[in-house]
Amino acid sequence: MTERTFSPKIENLTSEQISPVNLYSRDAVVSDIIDLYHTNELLVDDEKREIRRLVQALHNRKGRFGLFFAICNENSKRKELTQEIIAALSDQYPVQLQLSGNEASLLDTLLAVPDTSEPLIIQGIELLLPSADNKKAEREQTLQELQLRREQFRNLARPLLIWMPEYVYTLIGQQAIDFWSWQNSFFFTNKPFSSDPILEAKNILRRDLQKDWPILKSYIPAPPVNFVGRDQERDQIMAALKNGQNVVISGMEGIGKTSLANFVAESLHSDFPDGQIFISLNNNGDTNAINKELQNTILTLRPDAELSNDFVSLIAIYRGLLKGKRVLIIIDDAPNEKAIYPFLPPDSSVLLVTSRDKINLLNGISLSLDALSPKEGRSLLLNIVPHLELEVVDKLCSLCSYLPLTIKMVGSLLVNRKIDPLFIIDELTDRFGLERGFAQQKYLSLSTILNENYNFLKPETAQVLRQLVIFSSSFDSSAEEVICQDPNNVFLNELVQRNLVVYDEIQNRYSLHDLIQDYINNLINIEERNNAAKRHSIYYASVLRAADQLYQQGGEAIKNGLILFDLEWNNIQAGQKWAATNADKDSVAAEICIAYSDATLLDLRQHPRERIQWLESALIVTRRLNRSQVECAYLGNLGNAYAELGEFDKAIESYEQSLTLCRINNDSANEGRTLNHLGLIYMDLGNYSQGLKFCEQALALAQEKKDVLNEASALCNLARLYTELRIPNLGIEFAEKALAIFRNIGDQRGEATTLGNIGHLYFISNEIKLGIQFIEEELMMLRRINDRRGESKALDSLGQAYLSLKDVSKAIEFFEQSLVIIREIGDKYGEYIELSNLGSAYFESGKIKDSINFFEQSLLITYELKHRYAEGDVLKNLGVVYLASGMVKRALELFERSLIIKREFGDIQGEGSVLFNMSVAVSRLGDYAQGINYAQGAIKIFDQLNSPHAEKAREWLNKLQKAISPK
Amino acid sequence: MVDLIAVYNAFNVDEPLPAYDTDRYVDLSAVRGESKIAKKLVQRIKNARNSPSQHLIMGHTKCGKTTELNRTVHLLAEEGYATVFFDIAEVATTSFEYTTVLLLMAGQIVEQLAKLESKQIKVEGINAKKLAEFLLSREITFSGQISAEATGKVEAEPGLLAGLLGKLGIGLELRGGFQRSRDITVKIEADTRGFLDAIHKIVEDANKKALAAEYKGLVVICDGCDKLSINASDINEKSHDLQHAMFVDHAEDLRSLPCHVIYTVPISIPINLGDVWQQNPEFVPAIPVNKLPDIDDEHHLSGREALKEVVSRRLIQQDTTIDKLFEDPSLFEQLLSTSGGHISDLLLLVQEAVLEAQTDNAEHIAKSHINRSILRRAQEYTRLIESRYLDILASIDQFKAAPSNSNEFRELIFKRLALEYVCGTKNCVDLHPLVAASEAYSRWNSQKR
Repeated sequence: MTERTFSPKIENLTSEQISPVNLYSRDAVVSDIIDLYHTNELLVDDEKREIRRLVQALHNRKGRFGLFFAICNENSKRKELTQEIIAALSDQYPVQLQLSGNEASLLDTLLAVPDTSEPLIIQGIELLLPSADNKKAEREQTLQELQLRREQFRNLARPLLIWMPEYVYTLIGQQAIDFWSWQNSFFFTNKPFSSDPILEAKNILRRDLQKDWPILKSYIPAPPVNFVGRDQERDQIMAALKNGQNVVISGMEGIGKTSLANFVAESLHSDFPDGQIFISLNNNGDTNAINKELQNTILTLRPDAELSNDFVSLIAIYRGLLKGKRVLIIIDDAPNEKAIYPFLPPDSSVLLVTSRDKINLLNGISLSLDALSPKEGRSLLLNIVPHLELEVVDKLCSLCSYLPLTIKMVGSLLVNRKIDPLFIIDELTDRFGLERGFAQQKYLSLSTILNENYNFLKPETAQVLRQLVIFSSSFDSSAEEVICQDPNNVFLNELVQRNLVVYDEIQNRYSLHDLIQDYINNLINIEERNNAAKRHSIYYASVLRAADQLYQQGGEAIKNGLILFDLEWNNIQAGQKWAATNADKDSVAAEICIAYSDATLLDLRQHPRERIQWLESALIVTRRLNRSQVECAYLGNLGNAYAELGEFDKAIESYEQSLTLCRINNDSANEGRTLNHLGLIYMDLGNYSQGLKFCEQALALAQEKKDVLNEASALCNLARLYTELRIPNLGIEFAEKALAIFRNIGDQRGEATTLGNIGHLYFISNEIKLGIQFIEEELMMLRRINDRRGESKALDSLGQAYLSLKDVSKAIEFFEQSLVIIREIGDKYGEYIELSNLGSAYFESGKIKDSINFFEQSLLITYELKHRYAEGDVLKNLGVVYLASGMVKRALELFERSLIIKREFGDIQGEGSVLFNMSVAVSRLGDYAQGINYAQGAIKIFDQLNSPHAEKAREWLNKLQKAISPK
Repeated sequence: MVDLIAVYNAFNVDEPLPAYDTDRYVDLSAVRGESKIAKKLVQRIKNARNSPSQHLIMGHTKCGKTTELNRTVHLLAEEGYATVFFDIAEVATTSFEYTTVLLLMAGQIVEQLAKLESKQIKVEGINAKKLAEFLLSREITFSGQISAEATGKVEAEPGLLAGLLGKLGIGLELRGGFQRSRDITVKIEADTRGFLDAIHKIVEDANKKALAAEYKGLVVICDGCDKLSINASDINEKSHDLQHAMFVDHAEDLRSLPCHVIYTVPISIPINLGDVWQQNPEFVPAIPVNKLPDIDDEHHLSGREALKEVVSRRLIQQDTTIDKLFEDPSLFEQLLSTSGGHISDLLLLVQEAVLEAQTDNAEHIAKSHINRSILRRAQEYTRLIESRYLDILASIDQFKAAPSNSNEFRELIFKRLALEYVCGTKNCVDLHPLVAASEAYSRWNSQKR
């Protein structure tokens, strides 16, 4: 059982960190203007209106100088429009002037037009501004005249309407800014306001399509007609995809990954009724390229989708479009794992990825395709069978399609059975191609060769080989010895010799080739399999225990524990799965099913979702076997897992069940622990009075029962409570008591944690430097006991401290150090937190782009973890960053998404904070009424929680109310 | 009912306010970092007493420099100075260099002093003759007929030279453009000393005569130098940095005149003019209207009030107010923010909004008119952004300060894509809001991210 102790949380960014709303911030203005671009009514190019506007302008300047530029690229249309304008000008009689291009001076020419006050309409100015390179001097001449003699144009004392193509308009703007800045422009080009190609494409598509787009078309390129082989891989991929697992196919260029993927897609047509999409990344991991692909994909999914330039919004749109749909998404030639993240679909759809490098996805399988070059094939075979003639070698390799495994098996056959190669070439080859109308072609199939090899084995060796199928990844010799009942690994070594088992000398581990594993899978019978699986499950339960013991020992041992665990994790998972499946019919399985859930390091390594599954299988057994002691502990752990996922309702439910059981059992130790957990969770929920209640109960119970560990934990939690309530004096009092106990019982980890708590308490009492001393002491201690995870948290705290000292660069340094450790121990959840912290730190330092980048990375991890609660937090923080950088609408969008999640989880404190930020955002957009609404919603929540934020929110509300009331 | 045609015309930006227009003139010095430009210029000239002095004034295009200079002339006249005020861009037609500036200046001095309202001043003919002879000896011909005229009558009345020099600019072959100015400069530079002597003699004489006529002194104000483009190519396609050549390389020549002289300088001049000119230009910055980082709110708040006054005064003359013209006064605030505190942009935005309202036959300016006005202006700014500016725009956006040693920055300032502000003692640069919001910049910016 683990104690949820004080852990640094990412500071909730609230608007306290943004300068109080400023209605006149430039960024807000900019954001308003940007938003205007998206106002559809303005994008409509209404020619009639433009003419009306132009006529009105000429009318306004009747008899006076006025400069009007009319922009139209088509000469004939200009003339047409001129006629319309002249017709509309009822009280004026414009003079038209066509320039020849030979004018020495534009101004002088215009001045020479007969003295009248009627408007002057000029055509052909582009002739004086030729775009050719060799006419540069002429061009500059005219531009300089416009720039310098602009004052004299006023002497014309009449409205001047100059027709020009768009390039001239831009040219004058860039080169004769003073003249240009006087003019009003009138556009008669086709689409003056939408130069965005994506937007245009979308508009075109929109016209062509009906409103709804219920079923996707298949965009998968057809596989080559002569696609052959890869049967095993194909089956494996298809099974996984049907099962909802993502699949990565890796292998060198040209080996046929894409063909295979397309072939699979074609075969799975009916399994993905909502369609299939093909996305080609061309091994390009550039953010822009990915962004672009994402946009294209969205348009494929829904041609009239509203696009955004914002990466995070795009991902949200993409996921939204796929929600509830069953779509197969092929990502071809992915450069790396990171490039795939944005395309991770919701659960109903799956990814099929091809990549040159091996990529592991969280929920998915990875298989590599291999074939060798002729040279490689030759050396491989010669390595096994040194004295073969080259001609024969090449022939064999070619028959094996240069597939290494097949070649190896051929070699093995030649060496061990000492048969004539010609026998293989002549007798063992299969033929294919006939049914597709191609010439027959000979080839050696893997299964044929494997059969030959397998049939040649002694029965005992064959039995061991069959049992090896039980290993779901690599294994060591001791495991094989026990599970396959193979003393001294005699048969295993023989299998290695025969190339049927791969031995990795560096790791000192054994493994089966995927294809051999598949082959054997068909040979082993149920009973044999079940017996082996049972031994496997028992064995790996003990491995898990051993790893956990090392982990709990602390120091160097932690690392060894983790190494052992990571090496065997797949086997451990398989072992647990067997135990859980068989727990109801096998008493041994039932026992080990319980045992599998009893490991502290699972908290670090296992996704809480999976842990919940494990615990629930274990709980079924404990209830059946009346192990209420264990049940009560596991219910507590179940609560922890739900709490980690942010599913607080379920967490509380589990804790309460646990509590009831503890009381029935008189199990005061677990009762105390559970009370502590309940206290913490209410604190997380911002319900401090409930939090206090439970912590105090825990303390009283522990003191009564003289349970010092729970007493210290309760004191520690109370210290944290007062940290949250910002009453440092009280907090320090409790923390010091806890510290004394931990020191007394020699619990170094507890001591370190408490030191950290004290540090935090000093932080809130604004004695940051003193606080830092405590955290540094904590850090030293953690390093001494080699608690890497704790170390990463302490580094994180230091980062927070320096952040509050406004020493952002130091803060970033610590966050980065923490991130290194977190990545080293593979703590994805921690990575999300640290990336968020870096986002906050860069935000503090004003580096908005970096900040956004980190928050986006953090967001992607929450998607990967499928951690909705965390997603809600990051969305909010990202919103705050956008808000501060003036992109108010975007911020509001993110807040809205965050709000949905906060409400989904009943996180009312978070809801209050989001509402408050939304109030700030809508007020910036000028909607004070809504701003007041949101602010009131936030205040209601803060009041309910007795939150210190209430006061700030009230101040804000007052400001808004003042702003709205008439002066 | 508001007369929208009258309002539209009241917001014409192509004319600077005349000095006497106290109805429309708003003293913006408080919001320009206490730059009481006109008063300061006059005080500086007074402080110099009888020694010659040179002064510079600098500001964004259409920010109100000429308005300030008009007031300066007005104040100088009140103080009893003889003033010669001209816009070099008007008389020089296409392009100019220090040589043409000095030549034209001499012509303007002769011409304008002879036409002063109270006590006219006639410059000595002999000096004018010397200049004319110098020009002829260097074979600088203005155009066929004027040249003949000059040759024949050079010994006649000084008024003729005034006329001749006055016409110099107009007489330049327009299609020659910069090359024409180059030709003149090259010819003059064969004997720069002689040229400067001839000019100095005329000015010296004019100054002496002004003092004798009981003027406190002679002040020459040369407006329009700021319109000088940054670069121009000569006949060999060689590019010349015109601004640098004039205000740095030939600063000594421009400073050497024996009278008080005021030049407008381009805001985009790259170096610290204080080194060469031994004084810093009077700077006419944009007016803060939006919150700038690390700058007290009072600056932009009072900036807004001042500009609101500028607009209100124009409206009052048309019998209306911001509240009457706009459906909602907050709409005007939006225009104000969008202008970035650049007066003529603000006036244009209002004017365009009026036109939009007229187009829709509306009586008041509504939200949609504001939107259209802003969007149009934003689209125009997008056009001014060349891709090579993007990096520097981003840097300004981030640091709110002028990047050092950047030629692009000069252009940005010249094209007012970036605006300079003075808040109290702090200088600050920011992107024009329309630039920051422009499609070109924001698309690039978001892609870069």
